[in-house]
Amino acid sequence: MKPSLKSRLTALAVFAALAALTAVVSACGGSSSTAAPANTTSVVGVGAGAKKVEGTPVKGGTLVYGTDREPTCLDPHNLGDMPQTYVARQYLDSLVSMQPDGTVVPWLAEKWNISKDGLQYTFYLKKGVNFTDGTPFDAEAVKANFEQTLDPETQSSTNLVYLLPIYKGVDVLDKYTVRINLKRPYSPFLDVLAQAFFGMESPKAMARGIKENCVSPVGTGPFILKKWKKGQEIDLVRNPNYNSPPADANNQGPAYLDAITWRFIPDPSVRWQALQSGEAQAIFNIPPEDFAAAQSDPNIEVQQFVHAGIGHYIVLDNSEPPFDDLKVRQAFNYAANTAAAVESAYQGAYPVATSAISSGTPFYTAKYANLYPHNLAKAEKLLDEAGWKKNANGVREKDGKQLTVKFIYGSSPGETPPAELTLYQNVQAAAKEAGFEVTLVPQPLAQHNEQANIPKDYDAEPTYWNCPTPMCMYIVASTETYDSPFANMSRIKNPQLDQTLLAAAATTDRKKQAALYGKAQQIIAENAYWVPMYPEQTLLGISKKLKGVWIEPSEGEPILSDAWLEG
Amino acid sequence: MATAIDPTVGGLPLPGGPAPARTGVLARVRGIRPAVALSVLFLAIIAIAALVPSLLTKGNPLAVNLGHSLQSPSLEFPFGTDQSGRSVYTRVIYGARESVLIGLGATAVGLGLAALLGVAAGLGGKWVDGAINRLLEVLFSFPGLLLALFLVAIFGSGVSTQIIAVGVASAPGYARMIRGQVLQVKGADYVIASRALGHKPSRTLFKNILPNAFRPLVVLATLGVGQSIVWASALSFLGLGVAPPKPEWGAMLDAGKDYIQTAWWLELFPGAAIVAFTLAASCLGRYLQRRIEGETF
Amino acid sequence: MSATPSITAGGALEAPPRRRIPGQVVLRRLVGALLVLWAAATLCFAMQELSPGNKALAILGGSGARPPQEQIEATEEKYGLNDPILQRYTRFIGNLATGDLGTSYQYKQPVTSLISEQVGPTLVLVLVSTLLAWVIAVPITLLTAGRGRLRSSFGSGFEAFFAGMPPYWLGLVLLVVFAFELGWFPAIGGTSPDALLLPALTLALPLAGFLGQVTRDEFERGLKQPFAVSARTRGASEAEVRRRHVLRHALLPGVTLTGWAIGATISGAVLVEVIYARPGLGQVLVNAVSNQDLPVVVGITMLVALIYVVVNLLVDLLYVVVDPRLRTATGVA
Repeated sequence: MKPSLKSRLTALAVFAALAALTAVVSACGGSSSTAAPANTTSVVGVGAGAKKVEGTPVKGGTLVYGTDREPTCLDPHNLGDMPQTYVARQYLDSLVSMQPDGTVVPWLAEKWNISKDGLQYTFYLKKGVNFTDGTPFDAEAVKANFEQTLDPETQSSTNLVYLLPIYKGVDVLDKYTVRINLKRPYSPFLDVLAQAFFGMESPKAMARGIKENCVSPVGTGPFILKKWKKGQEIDLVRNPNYNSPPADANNQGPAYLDAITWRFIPDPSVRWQALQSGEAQAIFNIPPEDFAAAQSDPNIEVQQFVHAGIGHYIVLDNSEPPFDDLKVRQAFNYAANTAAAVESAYQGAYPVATSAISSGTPFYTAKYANLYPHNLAKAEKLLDEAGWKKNANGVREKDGKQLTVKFIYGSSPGETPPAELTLYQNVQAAAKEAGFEVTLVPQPLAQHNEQANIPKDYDAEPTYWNCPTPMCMYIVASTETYDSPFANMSRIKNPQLDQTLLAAAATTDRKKQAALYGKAQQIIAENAYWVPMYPEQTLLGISKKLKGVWIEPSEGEPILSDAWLEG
Repeated sequence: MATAIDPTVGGLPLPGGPAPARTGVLARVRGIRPAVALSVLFLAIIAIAALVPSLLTKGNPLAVNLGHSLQSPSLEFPFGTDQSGRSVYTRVIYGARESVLIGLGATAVGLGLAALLGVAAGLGGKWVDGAINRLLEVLFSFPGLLLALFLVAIFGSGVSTQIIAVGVASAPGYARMIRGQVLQVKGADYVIASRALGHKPSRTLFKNILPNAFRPLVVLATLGVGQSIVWASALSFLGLGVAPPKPEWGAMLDAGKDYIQTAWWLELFPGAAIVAFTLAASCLGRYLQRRIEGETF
Repeated sequence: MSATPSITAGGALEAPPRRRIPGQVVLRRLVGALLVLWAAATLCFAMQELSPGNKALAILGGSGARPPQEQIEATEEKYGLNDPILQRYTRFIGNLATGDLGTSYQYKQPVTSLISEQVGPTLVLVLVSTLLAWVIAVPITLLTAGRGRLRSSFGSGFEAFFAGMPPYWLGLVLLVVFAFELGWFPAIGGTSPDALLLPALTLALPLAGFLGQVTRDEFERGLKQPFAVSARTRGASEAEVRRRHVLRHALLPGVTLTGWAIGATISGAVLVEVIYARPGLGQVLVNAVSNQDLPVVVGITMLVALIYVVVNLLVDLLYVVVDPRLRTATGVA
């Protein structure tokens, strides 16, 4: 849906934040060896994780999976756009698999150690695993994967740039033991590695260079990439020798399905029709206008997963008038009526977000959610107090200046779907009642990507961030990322917030993390730095004939190795 | 033979001399037909909608009412409501202004540019002709949509860009027709006769060449208004048209495209407005063309 | 615009007197075609130059990229983005001339292989819809033009109706009615033959309406032309007059239009391919434009220019076949 933002991949962006860690608050001493999840109070992501499934799996059949966007490169080490991670999960395995609460379970790594200072991650790898081109998976392969991501020659991707600042090096301790050394402690490191963006690829395949590896990457995963017919589909076939599923998978052997046709169907109503007519057995991103029909259809199962991260929100430019004034920001939050706006635009398919991070993020707390329910009177009062008075046209003025809000958005194909436009217009109309004159400014992508990072060119803009960790807040709201493009677009400078988040990254004590991440959510909500709208979701429409599909929580990737087709 | 292979002519074939007498087919269509009357009536309504929309609807096209979202047509909302609960009828009425403005504007830009190029090419020396012709050839070889996208990239999206983009993209087509006509009319018997009779070149130009050269353009121009709206709506389809919340038919089509199965009225009424407008404009255009054809000669 | 240099060259070439030496004519035509391609390339280059946005950034992962300054500089160096304009221009033209369209910024694949993968479905779609448009337009003209008021208005009403239809709107309507509701066609047929009809109709119907209008005009005019009259006096039946004499005459403007509508048809294919989820150049082009994948944009543009040149050469030849008058004409200009 939003190439411009999704493509600034989420995972690697987390490293970007890391890059910034200057004040290292370490020494809190992490637990030394931990594969066991600690007890937690954090809210669990909606609809994620493996589930027990009724029935006996059937072998065979080809699944047609209809999705919206086509990746530009099938090697997720390059770029880092969301569609890459969804498909890459089918042919790549990661070192660990994330759980909805932010803990991880073994995958290609059987177990691991984290040094006390949080700087060394030692992974003990599964033995007897081979890439589908026959290359054995071992410590050297892990090393090669990190090196590929870091290799400046593979400049196609920007990811590696963000690994550099925190990544110190990799040591191969023996054939099946590998140690990653960090420059600075970073407690969400394992969650980040769980994403398919860090899926392990065959060193032999990577050595062919980007050009070939983009078209035919090779992993250890449950499926093998057979052919990419651009503009149409990706053909995947079962890996008959698959022996490295994650610990949380129901199926610990090779996939049940013979093959998957990963079909690109950008038009939402066509995608929905394909599911209804049985041309596809599963579709990604059920169109919101068909969501109700999908839920009531007895032949269709709906799986809804709320992504971790910030979700979709309206950036407010905190560095310049009018939003440099807390009261104006609060007034805009009160006036925007995002709850009704989201409901009208997405017709119940998306929940309303009311907090700094999405409800699907580890360590999300409802304590600081919904601080600004729709309240026109409060909005008007705050604006009066801030010195903005309504003129004859109902627009507020102060010192001869009108309370205008320049709201920019990318208007290129696929960038802003109709539902999103409805949402903006609803917010525009609601804010108008309080005296805000919001101007919607559609911009071609190239122009938008430049202006999106020049605060004088906008007062507000929609954006979103997906990350498997609440450290996402550091990316979008820290002093360190103030000038990084597409990061702190709200232009927030708050030393207290910086320190709170850095302290959370430096401890592996989940209780301390919960307290610190909670405090960060409080700071952001109370300052009304931005306007939350709705979380990113993986919305799967699944034919009742297809059983056993589930969604993993790091990036909402669909797990199809557990799935089977019934007669 | 040379003519046939020469790519630079490519205009309409010679009409074959002075207009025929008003017999046969043409005579039959000279009376005002019901379709023409209907077209005039429809265009008049559209004109009122574009100039004084409040005469046709009391509603406010921007009035969001989330409690009324996506209602099917009823007495209160004859065309139903959109996602934000706005009346589609009111928006179609208010949308006439932008849509017709874009259609007329783009056609004017296109024809204006084309007339300059086409006449200059047709009447200028071989050198000028060749130069313009090559330019047209090159513009032609560009997909119109690409040209429009490029202009949008440079000037940003909006009504004026839409007018210029669609106008410029359609100019080469008109220009080539005009040029072809001018060239052929220039060599026609009646022009040669006019010259032979010692008429001043300006008289020959205005009395004989131009009227005949522009004649087939009447159809193209009336169609052009509709086509311009259609192409502008393609830009809107790509999100590069009128900025919301302003109503415009193409932008409304774009906003409703995902709802075609669940809320058909979002797609039907603005689409019908475009089709009906194009139909009426070309019906009127053809009628006028016949009148002009009858009187030019 | 920046196509000025080409004007001079093209103009100079226009001057030689026409002589009926086929070889020479063909040679001149080829040189002319090359000049058009060269001018189109120059226009492409100018568009690249004038396009907003940082080229190095576009190469380094597109809109989502966040490369450090050193990497941007290295890329500018590597691609010679800071070279003098003349140097870049000659390199650009030189690469094109040798068939090297460069590497896609987005896909990291050679543009030529990207295009050759996608060009087939688009060409099939454009070709089939153009043929279909004629198949629809000609019988309607033959059956209704100059056959009395009722038939005539039916014909012209049909034409005006479809000529004024937004292609993507028509596409959606056809899709919903015939694929969704009636289930006669697959919703996601890809390149299979049964999935071709709806997209082709979507492109063909407006084109048929447009061609029909122009053809009808000429047809009705042709019915009263001396050649028609003389054919009748020679005892030819009305049907024969219509088919053999008038229709030929009336097809000419339509044939010309078809030639220059190639660009527009390809533009229409862009939208149709998106609606029907049909693979092809259209999707790739829209994608490339919005992601500033300039090598792909230029590659496709140059391909369309090439197709245009070839098609129009064919159209010129078709002219001779269709219009007997031109076989003996000695030149009009």
